[in-house]
Amino acid sequence: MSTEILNKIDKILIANRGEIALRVMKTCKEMGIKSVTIYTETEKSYPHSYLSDESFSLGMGPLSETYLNHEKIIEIAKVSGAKAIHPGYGFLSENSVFAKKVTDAGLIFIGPTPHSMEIMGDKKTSKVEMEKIKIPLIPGYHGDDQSESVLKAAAIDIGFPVLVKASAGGGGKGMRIVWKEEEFIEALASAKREALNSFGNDIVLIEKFIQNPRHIEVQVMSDTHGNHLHFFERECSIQRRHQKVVEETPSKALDDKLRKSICETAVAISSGINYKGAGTVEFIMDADGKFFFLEMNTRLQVEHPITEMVTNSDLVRLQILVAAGLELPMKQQEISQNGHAIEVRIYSEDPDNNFMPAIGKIGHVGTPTLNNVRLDSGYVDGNEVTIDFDPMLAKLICWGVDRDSAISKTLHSLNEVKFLGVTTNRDYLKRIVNTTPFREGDTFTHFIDTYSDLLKPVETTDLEIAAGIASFLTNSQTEDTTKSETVQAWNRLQGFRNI
Amino acid sequence: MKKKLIINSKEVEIDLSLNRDGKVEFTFNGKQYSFSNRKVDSVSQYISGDLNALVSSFENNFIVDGREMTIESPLRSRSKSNASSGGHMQSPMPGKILQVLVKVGDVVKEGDSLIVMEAMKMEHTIKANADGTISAIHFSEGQQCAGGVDLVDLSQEEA
Repeated sequence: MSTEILNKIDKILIANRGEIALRVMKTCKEMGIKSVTIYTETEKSYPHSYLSDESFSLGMGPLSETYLNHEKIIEIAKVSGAKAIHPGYGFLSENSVFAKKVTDAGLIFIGPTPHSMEIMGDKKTSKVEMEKIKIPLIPGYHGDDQSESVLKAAAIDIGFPVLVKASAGGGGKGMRIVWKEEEFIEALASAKREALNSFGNDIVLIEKFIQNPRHIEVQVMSDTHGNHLHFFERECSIQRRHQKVVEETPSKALDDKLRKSICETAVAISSGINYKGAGTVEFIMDADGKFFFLEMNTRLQVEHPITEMVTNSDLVRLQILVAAGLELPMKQQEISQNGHAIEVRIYSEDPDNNFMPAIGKIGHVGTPTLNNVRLDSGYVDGNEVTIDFDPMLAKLICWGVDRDSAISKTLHSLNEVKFLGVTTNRDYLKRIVNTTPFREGDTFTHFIDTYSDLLKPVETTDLEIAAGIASFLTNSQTEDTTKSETVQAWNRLQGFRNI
Repeated sequence: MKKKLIINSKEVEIDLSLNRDGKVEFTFNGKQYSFSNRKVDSVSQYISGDLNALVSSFENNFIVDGREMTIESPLRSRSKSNASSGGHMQSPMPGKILQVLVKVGDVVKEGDSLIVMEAMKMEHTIKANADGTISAIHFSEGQQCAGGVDLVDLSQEEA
């Protein structure tokens, strides 16, 4: 099989940065495929810029001239002799215009067809399409008339609380919950502004806001030979600012029957639109186990590693296989869930100050030591965290034989992965997975707001501070006496004897 | 020997009686502590005695068994108060001013939105930290601002 792939794709340009560029690179190395990466002039010390077989500078400037510059990226792919482009997630991963340009340039785009991206990339179009194949949808307004009065009337009609969402959005940008009619106009303006800034498009849709919902998504993978598979669910209910922070699989909220039903619905969608490659169908599920289609992400998802751990698969490898035109090497009944995996996203931010993003220099990243623990990070010791890019530093993925074991491993590993030097949400993540509600599986998308009292920082004890002081004093003593280092070394031998 | 330290941005005093050959003894918050320590790698020490713990440090950041703190000497202190204090609303970090919602002379209440800024690709709303009257606005829409600078000044009436 590998020669078949290498004949088609022996070199891949990774049109991304950070941890996901490294993630794709890993699979390339495992498959004997050469990797080409891109970087901006400020990123020369970041590992994605030097761990690939070749890397090219995008120069400097705003994203539109670097990671979002279609022509420059395609040009680099051609110059380097890459046969295919892997877009990662974010950036150009769901841009159908780019995907088409890639194909037109005679290269392979590792992802779905531009047509699938167009259907699913726009939340409005996707819902119209889903209605056709009878997939359950949340009540809402997805109309073309974007005037303030029409949108407001629609919101009143649906009934508050409502959610205002950027049609082209993702990652919580351009999204607002509106609880009362009086707050609607201000929230709408703010959502539209953020949408315009982030996506260059301020079309919004309005939906009934479901309280205490769970976010359940299904990983799908389709080839060009009519095989539409799923790799089971992921629950991503723990979110802050509508961005996922803790993800796990399997979900505690699904029994076998519900799991079968939600996974089969996802496959009905991927086969219904004749999808190709990796995709994620996101659902929102209420307390009664009723689920509604939210959106489909036509790319590799940030949290894909937990699926890989539990189903023992390499989703990037399968993406490349499909892109090379091969058949998926497994049948649905051969895919099963084994054990439990939890991913926590480590952000450079201060959870105890409204999740304010933080910047700084990473003195030490740290390495997880337990078995079956994976750290997907785009940073190494000495790297600066700046405001130029997303504040996600790394993903820590822990696999355990069961959920309790995965929780224990997460708690332990978060102590090992320190990201010393930058304020992170590391301790906060520990607090989340250690709460009784989380341990009991009582998870829903407002978990963080609802249980904020349980998530308050635990006061550091005097004893812990004293241990810190002891370390500080020794450090400063070492600094003061570095000149007499040799003498010191001999002095330290005083306690030893030859016996 | 009395010694001042800044721990988590607060000044504390310790009484240091021994700091030699990997042994440290001091009094902190009315209690005597005694530790031995040994360096285990470039960032970590193993502290034993009253508490057995791995302590990692980089610059003024310390992690004791996963618990984070900052410790620094007052002479070398690099941390300055960046919390917006009464009357001055500061930018939490470098970014761009998207919207100025008030003008000089406006009377505002604590919690009112004053400025919307964008930093790290997210919108942040700067709110009034007290009741008062807007006395100065230092930036206009579209301008870039540094972190920790005054954005809006508020004069508080004497009740």
